[in-house]
This record gives sequence, structure tokens and C-alpha cells, in this order.
Amino acid sequence: MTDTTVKVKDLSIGYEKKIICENMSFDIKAGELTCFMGKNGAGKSTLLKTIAGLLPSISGDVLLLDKRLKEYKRNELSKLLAVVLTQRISVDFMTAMEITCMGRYPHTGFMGRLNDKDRVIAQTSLEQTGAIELANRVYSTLSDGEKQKVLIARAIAQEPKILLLDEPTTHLDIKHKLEIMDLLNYLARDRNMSVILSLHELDLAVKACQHIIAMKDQRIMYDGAPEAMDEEDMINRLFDMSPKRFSHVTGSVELSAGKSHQHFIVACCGTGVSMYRLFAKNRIGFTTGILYESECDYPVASSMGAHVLANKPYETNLDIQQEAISCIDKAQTIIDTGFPINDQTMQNKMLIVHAVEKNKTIISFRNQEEFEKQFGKAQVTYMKDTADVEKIFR
Amino acid sequence: MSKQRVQKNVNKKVPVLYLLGILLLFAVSIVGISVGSVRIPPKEVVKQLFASEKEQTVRYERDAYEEIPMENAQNIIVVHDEYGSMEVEPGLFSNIDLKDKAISSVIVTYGQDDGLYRDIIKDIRMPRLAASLLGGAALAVAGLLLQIFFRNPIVDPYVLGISNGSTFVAALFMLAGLQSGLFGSTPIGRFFAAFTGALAVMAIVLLFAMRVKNASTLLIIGIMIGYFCSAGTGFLMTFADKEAVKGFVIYSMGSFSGFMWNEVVMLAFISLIFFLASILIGKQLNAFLLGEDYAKSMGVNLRLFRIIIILVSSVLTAVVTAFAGPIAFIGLAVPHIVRMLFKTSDSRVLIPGCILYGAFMTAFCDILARTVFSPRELALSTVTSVFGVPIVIHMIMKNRSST
Repeated sequence: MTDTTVKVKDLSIGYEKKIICENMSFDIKAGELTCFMGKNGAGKSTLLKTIAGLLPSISGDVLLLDKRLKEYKRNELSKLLAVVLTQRISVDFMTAMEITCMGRYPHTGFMGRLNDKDRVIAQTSLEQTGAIELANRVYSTLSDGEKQKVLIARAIAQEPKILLLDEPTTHLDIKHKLEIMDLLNYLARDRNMSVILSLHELDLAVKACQHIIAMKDQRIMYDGAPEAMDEEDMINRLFDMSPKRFSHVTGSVELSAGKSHQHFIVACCGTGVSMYRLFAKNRIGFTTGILYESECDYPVASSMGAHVLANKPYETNLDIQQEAISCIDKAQTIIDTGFPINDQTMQNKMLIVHAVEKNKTIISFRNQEEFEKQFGKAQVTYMKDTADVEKIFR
Repeated sequence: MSKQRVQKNVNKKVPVLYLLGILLLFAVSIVGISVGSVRIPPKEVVKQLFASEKEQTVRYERDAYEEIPMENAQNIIVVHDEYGSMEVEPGLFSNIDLKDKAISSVIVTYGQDDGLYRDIIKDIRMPRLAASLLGGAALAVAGLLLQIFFRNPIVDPYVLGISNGSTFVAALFMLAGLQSGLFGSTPIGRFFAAFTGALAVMAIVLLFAMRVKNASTLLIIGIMIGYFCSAGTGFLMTFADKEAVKGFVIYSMGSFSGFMWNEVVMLAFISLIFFLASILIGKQLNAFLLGEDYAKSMGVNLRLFRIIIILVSSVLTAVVTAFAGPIAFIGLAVPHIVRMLFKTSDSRVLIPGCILYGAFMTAFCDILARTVFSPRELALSTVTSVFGVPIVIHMIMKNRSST
């Protein structure tokens, strides 16, 4: 069931006279996770709060279930929509369970009396967020991550059709981040909720959400599925990252290493990844090759902005090979990562052979016996741990 | 996960604490009435309080005149054929010639005992006690409401400048000769003047409350208004004459002495209505604990709620301060004490708690204020602070883990 629950038409949001984002139009469907993405200050929180009715819009309309937001009565709206915000709550003496039960507010009667049904719903909400053991603990004594879970449970207990969360995973450890994303996915799919959230974890956004709305320069830059963002290199453009630091393959970013002809890392088949990262974290540039674009070394080295020599998957290109050889000539240090030697990795073998011929300084992660068998005797520094390479940086 | 595990998370102690509060009120009432420069034994007090005011009225016909009992006679009316009904003092009754045939009947009204105790109890002690109970409860509730509204634990009922406004207009009344104008030169006049001043400040604060987004901003505005009114008061004191200033300073130290029953009735009437109002908004107050955004997302009408809170707390503060002057500490400390005692932040529990314990603490301190250095009377604010500060500090230290 993918009915549209939220329609935004020509909406401009902001505070008092300052417009943060304008002329926005998009639809949000039930049964999906929609993520608002953008730089700090782009307006993600403002947009969430405007849709929730907590901030007035500057112009334009927000329609919830085809009814204008302004036309909703307070109680009606609170049964439709629940929020999880970033602001800290400080209450003494309230237990996690009591906070969760607060979510029942729109459904309880006059003095806020809770009946059994309310308690069961609150309990279930805590169970779903994985926070049931915290039920009788005092909220103010919980860790940030635990508090986050309780606040999510509170929102769930409100039984909304639309759930808005502002950076819900910020304080959680990796395991809990995944748990919450799983939970939100469950709520969207099985309960047919519209789950709308803002995330700073780009990989989670891309991996877990069905719909991304990206905001930049006071307008919407992208409105669509995360899978299509790669083609347009959307994320790097969104955050003004250059070189192209975010890779959809790794779902993450790399530190920048830069180009340098001083060091040449001969790698393939995944053997280059940890070496590249060692260089990047010491801010030392390198050249690497010859990779296939399909190998996992490739996106890592590209994201770093290093000089990458790569072929299309399983192809051979003589120009690239020439270039690689001339880079080897220019380089001072050659690093042999210990990649597997077979028919597919012949090009790389040849590079090491060339380096030996030219009497280059070579560091190898193979054992001496294997190296000499493959490449012959040479002046080679043999190392075991990747981290040992740091010695040459000093 | 069984249902049992997460049953009603009610602190079992709550009803016990309520009961304790009521008992303490009772005890303090008895003690309050019995102690003082004239010591009335508690037994006597109980007797007075619970004595059924059986004012018997007996009509004696002609032949029974000789044996009319005089004990407990309060009032005697001699009905004479020629002179009509004549009221006669019981003490002078013996002067009347009971053999006069023209006396058609004698109507005697019998009442209770000792007039002296009665007067002290009725006219001095009880009004004062009732006023301190009501006033203490009102200040405690006002303090609690504002602490919740501003989400700030160091807020007291005077933070919006209410008492300063009240004192300022009282100063106009007492020092600047405003008497001749609207209010008349009586304590009630002064009350109305002070109450008007307080309400005027409240109106100004409400105007700002409707414009200002942030609660903290409103708090600062209230404090500023308070300073402004204080300045006004100080100004008036500079130019007034010494006697008037002395009287005014004593008034502004805050006291429940000299309360009269009509004043108590007014205080009771206004306070009880607003106590009820605060209980009725318990649900909204709880929602508010999480913050304005969350409260709004749960359906609370923030605009209306703001106005109600300011109105209720201001009127409660205004009515006490206008009668008794500013009384320190109760409004700030009792909400904390009650919160730590009941170990909850649930307003539906705390408001009745503040009523009970605010009343008790204030009445208790008032008793101390007038007896400890008798016949000199300490300022009530002095006693509340001296007594209350150690209690609050002790409870804070005890509760450190959960705050």
C-alpha cells in the first residue's frame, strides 16, 4: 500500500523573516522510510518541525492525508502524527515507562488516566525499541542512547500514522543504530506508517530508506530513490565534497590522501585497502595500480583522491600499463602488498618485475622465499604488519 | 514480558503521604490555636472546635421565673406587657423584680463557656491559622506551576514581579496617601490596592506572554518588571515620613497577623477556586514537563495553557501577597520538598501534595514566628527560611542519585 500521506506544495520554511528553504514540493508515501538529507543548517529540522505543525510555514501548504495541516484540530493531529526531537528532556523522578506512557496522552481522557490498554501499548513500544529492561529505571540516569530509545518508544506509543524523527540515531552505538533502523523499517512496512527522518549517517540513509529528499542552497536538490543518487554523484555534490569522497560502494567516506608520485602501491584483489588507509591517515599521497574498477580497492583509493590507474573490469589497456610503468620509474618507494599472483594479475606482476630491474626501493609483504621465486633476488625490505610501513614516513 | 512486571507504577507511599499531610494539618491547627501569649490547653481547643454550638433558647412562663438557671446564660429577653421586649445583661438580671405581673415571659438563650477563650480562638487565632494554611498552600501551588512552566527549579511565585507590583501599589496606598482616592483607608482598602497592583503586573506579563516565543524570555521580562516596581517602591519610601515608612516596612516583611474573618473568607474563596483549576490542568502540566514542542505534538493548546498557568499562579500569589505581604521561601521550597518526598514529577500528585504541605509548613512557621520570642514576633519569612533551608539541603543531598 503506497498511498501518499504527506503532500507538500510550494512550501517555504524558515523563522520569522528568514527563509531557509523555499518552493518545495514533494510527496511522501505510507509504508516507506523517507530521509531528509543535507548539510548542517540546510533546513532538515525546520522542515520536520513545519510538517509536524510545530513551526509555522512561511508560505505554501502542507497536506496530511489530503487535508491541510492548518485545518486539523489539535487532538486529531496528535493522533495522526508523533515526533522524536533532538532537544534534551530533563525531568526528575520520571521512569522510562512513565515517559513512554506520556505518548498515550492524546488517547487518554480527562485527567490523563491510563487504562490497561494504554499500559500494554506502552509496554509493547518499549519492547519494540529494545528498551524494556529500562522500564523502571529513572530516565535521567540513562545513557544518551538509552534515552533516545525511550523517546522513540514514547512516539510509537502515540500510535501515529506519520512518525517524524530528527536525527534519531545520533547517540546510538553501531548495533543500536541498526536496531533502530530495523525497527523503523518494520513500522513502515508492517504498520504501514510514513516514517520521516533526518540522518547524518549517509550510509544508513542510502541503505535503509526508500526515499531521499536532499536540501541545498535553499531548495530541494534531489527527490527520489537513493539507488539513483550514485549516477549523479548526488551526495558528493550535496555536501560539496571534492575529490569525490563519498562512495556508494563503500557507503562511506575516506580521508584524503592526495596524489603523489613518491610512493607507488602495487595492489589488487582487495590487498590495497588497509595500505591506502594507512597512507591517508598519515596524510601521504600515493599512486596505485593496476586495479579493475570492479575491485573493492578501487572506490577506496578513488575516494581518497589518490592517483589511481585502473582498467574496466577484466580488460587490459596498454596505455594504462605504459603509464603505470612510467609512474614506477618516477616513484621512490614501491610497495608490494602481497597480492595473489595468477593469470588475472599478470599486469601487476610485471610492475614489480620492472621495479626490481630498475633497482627501486621495494617494501614487500610476501615472505622472502616467495618474492625471490616470483621476481628474483633484490634489495627488499620485508614487512609483516601494515602498520610497520609508518617507519618509512618518519 | 508479563503484564505484572509493568503494573501501575504508582508510588505506594502516595496515599500514606497524603494522610500524613492531613494529620499534620490537623495537629498544627490544634497547636496553632492553643499556643500563644495566652496559653489555651489543647483539650479546651478541641472542645471549642467540636462543641456543637447548641444555643438553647428557653422560654420561661410566669410561674417558673424563680427557678431560672443563670449558668451559661448568654442573652436574656424580658417580655413586658407595657415595655415590650427588653434585653437584659445576665449579670444585671437579679435587679429585675420577677414578681411583676406584667412580665409575660422571659426568654433565655444559653450558650457555651468561657467567653475569653472563645474570643481569642475565634477572632485571633483561627483566622490567622486559616490564613496561614490557605496562604501557604496558595504560594506552594503557584511556585510549582511556575517551576513546571519555566522548566526551571529556582523559580518562585514572585519571579513575574507580582509581589513587587503588589507592594508598590500598597506603598502608594500607605506612603503616598492614595487612601483618599479609590480605596478608603482601611486594611481592606490596602488589600484592594495591593491586589490591583498585582493584577496589573499580571496583565502586563500576559501581554508579553502572548507575543514572546521563548519561556526564558518571559522569565527575564517578569524579573525586569519586578525590579522596576521595586524601584518605584524605593522612590516612594524616600519621600515618605518615618512613621509611615515604618508601618510599610513591617507590612512588606510579610505576616499573617491581624487577619480578620472576612479577609479569610475572601482568601479562601479565591484560593479554592484556583486550587481546583490547577488540579484540572494536571494532564497538561505533565505533558509540559517534556518541553513545549513535545507538549504541542501531543495536542496541548500552548497559547491557552500559557495564559492559564500565568493567570492561576499570579492570582494565587496576588491574593496572598496583597493580604499578607511577600512571604519568602515557601513558593520556592515546598514544591521541591514535595517532589522529593513523593518521589515523583507527576503534577496530579504534586498539586494536592503542595496544598497539604505548603499549608502545614507555613502554619507551622507562623506558630514559631509568634511564639519563639514571644511577645516579639519574628517575620514569617525569617522563620520559613531558617527552618526550610536545612530541610531542602538535606533532601537534595539525600536525593542526589536521581537528580
